[in-house]
Amino acid sequence: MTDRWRRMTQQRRLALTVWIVNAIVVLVLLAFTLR
Amino acid sequence: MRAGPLILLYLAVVCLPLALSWMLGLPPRPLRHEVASGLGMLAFSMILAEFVLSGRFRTISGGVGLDHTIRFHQLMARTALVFALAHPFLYRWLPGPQRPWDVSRQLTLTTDFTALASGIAAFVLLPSLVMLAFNRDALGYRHELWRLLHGLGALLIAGLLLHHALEAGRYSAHPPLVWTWSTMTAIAVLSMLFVYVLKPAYQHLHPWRVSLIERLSPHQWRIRIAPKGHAGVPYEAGQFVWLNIGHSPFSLRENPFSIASAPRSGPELEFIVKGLGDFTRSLDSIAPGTTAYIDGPHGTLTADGRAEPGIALIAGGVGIAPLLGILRELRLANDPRPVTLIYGNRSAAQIAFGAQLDEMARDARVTLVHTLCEPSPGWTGEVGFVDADLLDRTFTPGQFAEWLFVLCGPPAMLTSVEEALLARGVAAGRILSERFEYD
Repeated sequence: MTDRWRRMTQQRRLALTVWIVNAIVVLVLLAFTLR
Repeated sequence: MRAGPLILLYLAVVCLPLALSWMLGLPPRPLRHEVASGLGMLAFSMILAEFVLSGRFRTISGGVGLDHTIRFHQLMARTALVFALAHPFLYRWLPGPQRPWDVSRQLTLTTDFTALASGIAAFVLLPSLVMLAFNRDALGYRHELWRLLHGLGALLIAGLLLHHALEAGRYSAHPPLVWTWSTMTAIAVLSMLFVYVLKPAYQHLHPWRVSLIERLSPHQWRIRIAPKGHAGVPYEAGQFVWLNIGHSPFSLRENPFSIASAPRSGPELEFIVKGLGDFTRSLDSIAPGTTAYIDGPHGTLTADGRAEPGIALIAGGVGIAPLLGILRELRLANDPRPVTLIYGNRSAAQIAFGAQLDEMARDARVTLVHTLCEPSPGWTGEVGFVDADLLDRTFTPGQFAEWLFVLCGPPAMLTSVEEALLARGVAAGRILSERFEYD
């Protein structure tokens, strides 16, 4: 994973970061909903 | 701020209202209502966070760069829009007035039109704001008008959402949430005041004047500005400023331009400006002595503090400006490291500072490679785009393994060169690039 990350273009790394941020936000929403 | 802490801070801020709602300890509501409330709160906090992700705050974008800040701003706006649009449709209406026992409106949605109207207005305005941003080039608005519309539109939406959250929200009606929403909205409003009022006021007190303007090629101008009554600004070679020439600093009429001069050459700033776009079309009317204002420096496209044994500068067209600044600075600092500059243009007439570059290339440490897409007869340099083959002809595997690569040019060139460099084993941390176009 680290090697793949290092070989990604900056645009792809940013897009992946945004997906991860979105996924965390959705997980927080799920945890809040199902508490 | 570096990327990791910045993302953690972003997540903490965006999730704060949800976490506080959780900590209120209220009994859970129907699942659809919880999802709807959660989406609404997340959308609102994301929209408020967008204000400080505008790229105008060095604390935020100083570490990750303006490119990444603005791109993050654009992508998270899409998430916020999806959450906001889904928010009202998930509620299941429970008819009838508020039950006497339901003091915190656990089961009853408000029917007060005033409380709902602000949400409905924001619901309509938010997609318009995002669509306007998507299509800003196609719509043909002047940059400053678009910026004003975007800023005021966002401010109006934030105000409407604050009203809607406090009046119609059930979690948001509780004091910890009231304070949180009010504080977050106040920070968003203050960030706008900072950008639209305080920064221009500072610029008004620190004016510059155009000391030289000359045409370098049919579509490129060289502009120098000198500080008027102050010492100028400290900057690093390769950075850029938002430049306003001949207009009030409060007019928002500014555009980003890379600094082509070297910090060691003195306080004057030099720019290479391409004659396209609303500002650059009016370049012929600018005279020496015209007052100018700058916001900056900004940007992370700089070789300062880098310890790599060699530096590759790869420019396309007007992208030469920051790389010229870096090259000039390295020469003035008598840096012993080898530098290779690849400079791509459409035709020989577009080569800026050709004579000065040739002069610098007489130094054994500097290698200059010109490439043209449309060479005239007799051209002896490289032909074609800056591509993988040209990179292979110019650099050795050892240089790919160790050197710093600094890129500036059209987005398509940046992407293809970055991919080629990564494929040749250049670590992502040794590739610096900056683009001013997105989507």
